[in-house]
Parts: sequence; C-alpha cells; structure tokens
Amino acid sequence: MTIFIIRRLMQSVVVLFSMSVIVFFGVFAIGNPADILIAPDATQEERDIAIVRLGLDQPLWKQYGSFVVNALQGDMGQSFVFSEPALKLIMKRAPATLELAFTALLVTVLFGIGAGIWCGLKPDALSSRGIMVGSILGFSIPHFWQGLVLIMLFSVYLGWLPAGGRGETGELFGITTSMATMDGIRHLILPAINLSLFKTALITRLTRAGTREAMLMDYIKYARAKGLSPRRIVGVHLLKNIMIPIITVLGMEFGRVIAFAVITETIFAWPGMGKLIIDSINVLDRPVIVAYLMVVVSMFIVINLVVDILYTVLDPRVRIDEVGT
Amino acid sequence: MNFKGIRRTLICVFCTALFGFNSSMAADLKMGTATEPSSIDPHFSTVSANQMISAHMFDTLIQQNANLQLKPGLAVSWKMLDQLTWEVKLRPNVYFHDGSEFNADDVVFTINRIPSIKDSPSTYERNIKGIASIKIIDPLTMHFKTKKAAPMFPLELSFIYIISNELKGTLSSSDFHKKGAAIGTGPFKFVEWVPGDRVVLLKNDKYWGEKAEWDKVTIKPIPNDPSRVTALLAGDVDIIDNVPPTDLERLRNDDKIDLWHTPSSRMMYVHMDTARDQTPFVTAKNGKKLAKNPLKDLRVRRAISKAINRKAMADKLFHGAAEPTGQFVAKGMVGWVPEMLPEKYDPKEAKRLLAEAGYPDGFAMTLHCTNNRYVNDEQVAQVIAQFLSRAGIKMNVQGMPKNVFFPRATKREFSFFQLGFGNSTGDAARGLTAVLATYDKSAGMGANNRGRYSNPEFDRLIRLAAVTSDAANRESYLQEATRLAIGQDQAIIPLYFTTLNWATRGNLMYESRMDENTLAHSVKSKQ
Repeated sequence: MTIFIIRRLMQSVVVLFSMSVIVFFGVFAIGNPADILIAPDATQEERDIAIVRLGLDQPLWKQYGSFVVNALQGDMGQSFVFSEPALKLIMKRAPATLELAFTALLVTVLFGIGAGIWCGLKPDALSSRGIMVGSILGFSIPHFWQGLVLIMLFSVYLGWLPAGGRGETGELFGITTSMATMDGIRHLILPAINLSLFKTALITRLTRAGTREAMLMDYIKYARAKGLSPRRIVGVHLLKNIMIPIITVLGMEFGRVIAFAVITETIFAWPGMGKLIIDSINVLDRPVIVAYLMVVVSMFIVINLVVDILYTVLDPRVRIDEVGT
Repeated sequence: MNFKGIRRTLICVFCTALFGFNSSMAADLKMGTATEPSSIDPHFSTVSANQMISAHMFDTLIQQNANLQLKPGLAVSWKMLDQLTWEVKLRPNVYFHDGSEFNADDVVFTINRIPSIKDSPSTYERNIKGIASIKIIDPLTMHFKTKKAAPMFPLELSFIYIISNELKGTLSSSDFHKKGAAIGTGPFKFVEWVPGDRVVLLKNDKYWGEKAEWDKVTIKPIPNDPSRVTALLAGDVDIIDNVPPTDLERLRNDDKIDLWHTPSSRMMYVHMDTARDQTPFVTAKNGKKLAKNPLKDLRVRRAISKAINRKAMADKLFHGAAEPTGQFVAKGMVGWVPEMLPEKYDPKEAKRLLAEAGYPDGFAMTLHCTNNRYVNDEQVAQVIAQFLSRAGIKMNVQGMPKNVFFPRATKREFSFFQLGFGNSTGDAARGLTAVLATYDKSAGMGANNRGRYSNPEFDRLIRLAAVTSDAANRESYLQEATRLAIGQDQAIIPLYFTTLNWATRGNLMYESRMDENTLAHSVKSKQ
C-alpha cells in the first residue's frame, strides 16, 4: 500500500509538471495578457511600465522558470487583475463551490442509488418505467437551459426561491457555509438541483443495471434461500457488489462538479471557483488560470487515489497494487 | 375566523418562513450589475467597474454629471491663473466617514499615493502625470503647477477619488477591503465585499451633497445576461444595468418593470487597413491576390459606408436601442459636429462608386469581430456582411472572443474589422488621438490606430487642441479634425452608439448616465 501511494505520488508530479507547461504556454497561444489588461488608450510609456510590473517583459522561458521556483515554495504567483496571490483567490472561492458540490453529490447519491435499486428490483413496474424515461430527460437536457427553466418556474412565476447568488452564510462546525442559515439553504436549492439532475440520471441507470445483473447471481439466490430479510440482501449483499462502478463514476463526477460547475455557477451567479476561472480566462489572468488548473489536477489525483483505496474496502479481493497498475 | 381561515393563515406563515418573500424594506436597495470591481481601492484600476464602486464611497474634486459634463464635487471652483497654474478652491465643512475633516492635505496625500500602486495593469498615474508641483495656499485653496499648458486638467481630476490622509503610511490595495481603509467622503460607507457575490454599503448620513434615499445598498455582480434579467423578474434585485436588447420588448410589456435609457458614449465603428498595399484578408472573388489594396481607395471606403443601412440595423437588431452616427462623439459632447449626420443608405451610389474605383464586380473580404465584447457584436457583423454582399462584395464574417481579437487586431492581422471606442471623457480628443492620429509609439499617439490612417494636417489639429485652453477654440480644432478624418477621408466607418438600458421594478426611477455607471444615489423612488 505504501509503495502504491508513493508510486502514485511520483506519477502525479509528472502530470502536474506537464500540466503547468501546457497551460503556461497555452495562455500565450491565445494572446498576450498585456494587450487585454492594459487600458487601450494608454501611452507606450505607461504600457512599458505596466508590462514590467506584471513581469511580462521577461522572455517566456524565464517567466516559466521563476514560476516553477516560486511554485515549489508554494507561491503560485499574483493575479494580474486582483493583484492578490492566485492561490488565495481560489481558496476564498472554494467553500462556495464545495458546498454546492457536496449538496449536489448528496442529492445524487440519495435519489440516484435509491431510484436505481427500485428500478432494478421491479423492472416492469410502471413507476420504474417512469423513472427510466425521466432519466433520459435528465441527461439529455442542456444544463444552461435547464437552469433557466428552473429559475423561470420557481423564482419568476412561483416566487418560491431566489433566482441566484449565494445567500447569507453562517458558522456550522467552524466552517462558514450557507447551509447554516435558512436564507443560505434557499439559495442553495436550485443550483444544487441543476447540478445534480444529470448525475442522478446517470447513477440511476448505472445502479439499475448493476442491480439487475446481481439479482441473478448465485449468492443472492443463496441468501434468499437462507431466509435473510430482503432489507439485508439489498443493503449488504447487493449494494456491496454493485458499488465499485458507482464509486468510480461518483468520484469522477464529484471532481467534475467541483472543477467545472462553470455553467451552473454562471447562470445562478454563484460566487464559486468556476465563475472565477471563466472570468480569468476572459482577461487572460495567467497566474489564476495556471494555479486553478494545478489545483484541479491535484484534486483529481487525490480523488482517484481515494477511490482506489475505497475499492479494497468494498471488495477485499481487490489488491491495491493491482489497481495501481 | 373559521378553522379553514386559521389553517390557511398557518400555511401562509409557514410558506413565508421557508420560502420567505424577502420583502425588502423600503430603504433597502439591491442592484444587479453586469460587471464586478477587481478591488475596493479607488486608485487600483481605471476600469469602469472599479470606478463605479468607488463613486459610491469616495468623491472626486470635480465630478461628471449624467451627460459627462463637469460639475463641482469636493472642489467648489477651479480656474486657470496662468498657462501653467490651476487654482482649485475646496468645499468647506466636508467630513470623511471616520469623522475627520476634509482639506488640502487629503488631496496631496491622495495624489502622492497614486504612483505607489505598483502591481496594477492600469493605474491613474496618467491622470496626474501632468502635475509638476502642488502648493497649499490655505487649507481650502490649492495651486497646481502643470508641466505644460493643460486644458484637460479639470477633466483629469474628475477621475481621482480622494482618500483621507488620516490613513497615513503606505496602503496596499487589499487594506481597503480588509483593514478599513475605505474611508471616503461619498454618499455611502463601505461595509463588506465578498468577491463574486456582493458589495454592501450603508448610507452616509453626514454626506455634504444630496443624501441618498437608501439606508443599505447591496450590489450583486450577475454577468450572465439571462440570469440578470430573471433576478429582476424574480424580485431578487430592484434594478439591473446592461439590459440585453433581446429582452427589451418583453420588459417593456411588463407592468411591474420600468426601463430607463440614454445613448452611450461608446462609438461602434468599422476600422480598415488603409495603409498597406497588400492586406491579408482582401482578395479577388476567386481568391487570387489583388494588384492593390482596395481599402486604400477613398471611393471604396465611401461605397462601403453608403452600402450599410444603419437605421434598419438600429430598429431591427437593437429594437431601437442603438443610435446611428456619422462621427466620433454623440450630441452634447465636446467636438460634436452638427452637420455630420449618419451616412444615408444609398446602395445605388455605393455600386457606382465601386465601379468607378475599378471594382464593378466587387472583391472578397473578411470582416473580423468580437463575439463577447459588445452588445450584439457578431450579429451586427453579419448584418454588415449582408449589406456589403448586396453591393457586390463577397463577405465572410469571423467572430472570436475578445481576448483573441484584440491582440490580433493590434498586430495588424486583419484588414476590415469592427469594434468600439468608449468616449468616457465626454470629449472627442481622447478618441481621435487614439484611433486616428498617426501611429507613434513614443508620443503616445494612435495607440488604437490599427488601420494606420495618417494625415499630417489631422495630427497638427489634434496636437493644437491638446495645448489650447480656450474652450471654443479647442472645440473647433476637434471638429475640424473630425471633418477631415471622417468626413473627408473616411478613415473609419462610424456605425452607431449603443443605447444603455437600465430596468427597475416597483416604484423606482433611474437617472441614466452616459458613462455606463450604475449608481445607487441615482436611483430614486417615484413621487
């Protein structure tokens, strides 16, 4: 296990390094940040001063060199736009995104797995068919449209929930979160639903397929013959066996929700990291773009590691050094 | 009251608790804005989103009214004593939010601080660099010595927000939202800034001018157009700016919503490569190279201008939210030329001119434009392409994000491209200098002259205007320059000014401002 983790970490370094090269030089393929950031009617003298301030006068390889040296000491550079440390900017936005992602994940797990098992156990029931048809809608409707429909329905016509923004935040177990206030929760509902619909549909179908397959297995028949209660059969024997693909997908989807909730955050004016990255790309705020993608890559590495470790917990037959290769 | 009634009441109470119709108090104002500031520091960046927030908490010595004309702010009067000296009289009995009194020391402190902002992409240094020295005559009288004659000095001052010298020492930009350095004299006091989410302000009861109507103001950035509109419809905010033209019709028909508008100072135009003999995106219709660049021919440029139906564009594409123009600035601004009307749509004359220039069958050309910078930018380009196709020019439209467009345009990679210039000073000088003066890196002339138009007489007039203090003379130079570059040479093709739109709900009014600012103190209740 230790060797596995060390090997994983070494691979991660390579990934992080190549990522930084691609992003750093990629930004310049789009255009020179100086052309966007500096006022269009600035004189050449003002432009030159600003370019030196931003460090954009150095040759590109030198800029990259100093970036790497600083990054190794934990300094990802200063945002061109906000003139604050890029990493700090991202971390300030992280709680908003994380609470949204966790809520969406919770909705996905509760409804997706529940509905999936139901449909798998009673494939011919009318309710199951209804859920399956609904799930097709769930992942074929584009996010931005679905979001706007939710807003039009629940905020504009019914007036039940706010149309966007993050509500009041409060302290809950020492964390500042909008889950601590009523106003915060009301603001959280619509974006969380919007984010989770696609994933719920996906997990429902995945769970249903796994359930139908597992129900025909000998060990289920044996458990039944032994006279175990249906609850125990489903809750322990079935669930444990169908969880591996579901955990894999959930892990990846969770990462994607955190990193790329851009559309939902934009439509609901949610002050999270997705909105930050889009704004930063628009003005070519390179330090923020690079730092953000580094954070995202690290996060995916960690999530994948956790998922791999979870496999062994769920299925003792899986040996971790097999997984790692 | 019967049981049913009680039950209904209880359900209502429950629903209100859960879904709460956040019935905002009469004196609360929530604004949904398309932009967000990058700092609370009023000297950090000249971008308009920052100026808009600063204008709530800080005052300038000289202010701009809704039509961008100057009016007294923290200064009650200003006059030129001689070619190199401006005298400014300050307003007495003005207090900062922390209770300290405003005087000349605060102005000196502010002006000295501006060059210390080191890590900003666009500082206010250019507004003060003409100042050679400052002399305090008495606490409320100041003499500014300028390096050379500076007729624009009052205008430059109108961008400098005054902070208190009680703050002392060197202030970093983040001190303003963290350590309570956001102490101004403005109509609102700073409470908090949650980046990406909101700026909260409280009313300044001791404001020297007309006091604002709102006790508490929350400014929420909602850059996404449909989201901003739905936030207004849902009652999350009371006013939004930058109403997308596609929603105008709908909002106009909504009884609860009022619309407010003004022409903006941003002039949209098509710029052309009028300098090079071979230009990259103009070819013969069969794709072969042309012997010379047709855009160098005045007749071709005039033909293009005549082939575009600006009125139809304003009516159909913008639903009236655009005003056709034939020159650089809008009526009411310095340098406006009364007789230069928007070009009349004349397709026959356009064809005739093209034939006369030797292109009876036209040629092929690509129009480059942004697709996320201006209202309807790519649609406008497509409409222009349609009109020009009718005149016989084979058109191709290429839209791209602004962060790709501008660097390429600056590198002169385009031949025929559409963009805008914001005349934020209410005066033609800045725009004419940047867009049409001969490109000269070191002199700071023609920074936006991506077509490289060059006319020595035009340059002479612009230079003359820059050092002329007499307002009437100065304006006549600017008008003459406009007649020359646009009227005679057609160096650019002016299209229209977009109209700025605000929408309010409930019983509110908004005094629309040409500088695009959305100010809480310009929002008032209807009487």
